[in-house]
Amino acid sequence: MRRWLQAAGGELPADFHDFRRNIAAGRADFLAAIRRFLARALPRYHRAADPLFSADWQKAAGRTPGEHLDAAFVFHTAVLERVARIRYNAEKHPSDYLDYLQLRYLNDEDLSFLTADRKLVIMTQRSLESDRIYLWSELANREPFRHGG
Amino acid sequence: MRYFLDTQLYSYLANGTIAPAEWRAALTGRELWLSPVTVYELLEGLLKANVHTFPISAS
Repeated sequence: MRRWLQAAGGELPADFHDFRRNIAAGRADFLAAIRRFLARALPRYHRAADPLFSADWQKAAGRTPGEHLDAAFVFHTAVLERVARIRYNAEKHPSDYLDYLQLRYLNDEDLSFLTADRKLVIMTQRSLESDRIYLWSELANREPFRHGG
Repeated sequence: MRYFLDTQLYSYLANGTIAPAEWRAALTGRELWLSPVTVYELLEGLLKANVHTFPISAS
């Protein structure tokens, strides 16, 4: 099996290696933005208003005021809030960045996201796209799916 | 409407946390889309697999 994996590694499409590099670079930017946020906004955290509508937080998340509340932005804001409120160490949670990337696909209004992660559902429930994020346990317990249902 | 799944759900199907019948009941009739991030995570998981974590290596 190890030999097979080594062989597969050498034959993977070149764009997968690019993909890996992009993911690593994106995650580094994601964490750097959180560190910048800590340095800039944390001292004023206790005076901040609702994070989703705070200019400081929007700037920390790389957004400008007035942009709609998409799931990726709301999730990112929730991560920043955890960092500030409970000293959450984002560096120990590398999947946060992948969750953030997944949620960006919801910008396509034809897509819905299924997850077993209740925490992610809660962190994105104030998003305007939350009606397209389904918890697996709830979906699986529904009546069988019918077209148009 | 197309649906894409958190990568963890594919892991749950593979390790039996989600039974195949439950999977079929929930997803039959729904159009599924495999996101590039999930492809990345599944391939990354394969690359990191080893004889201790990947049961099929025993065969």
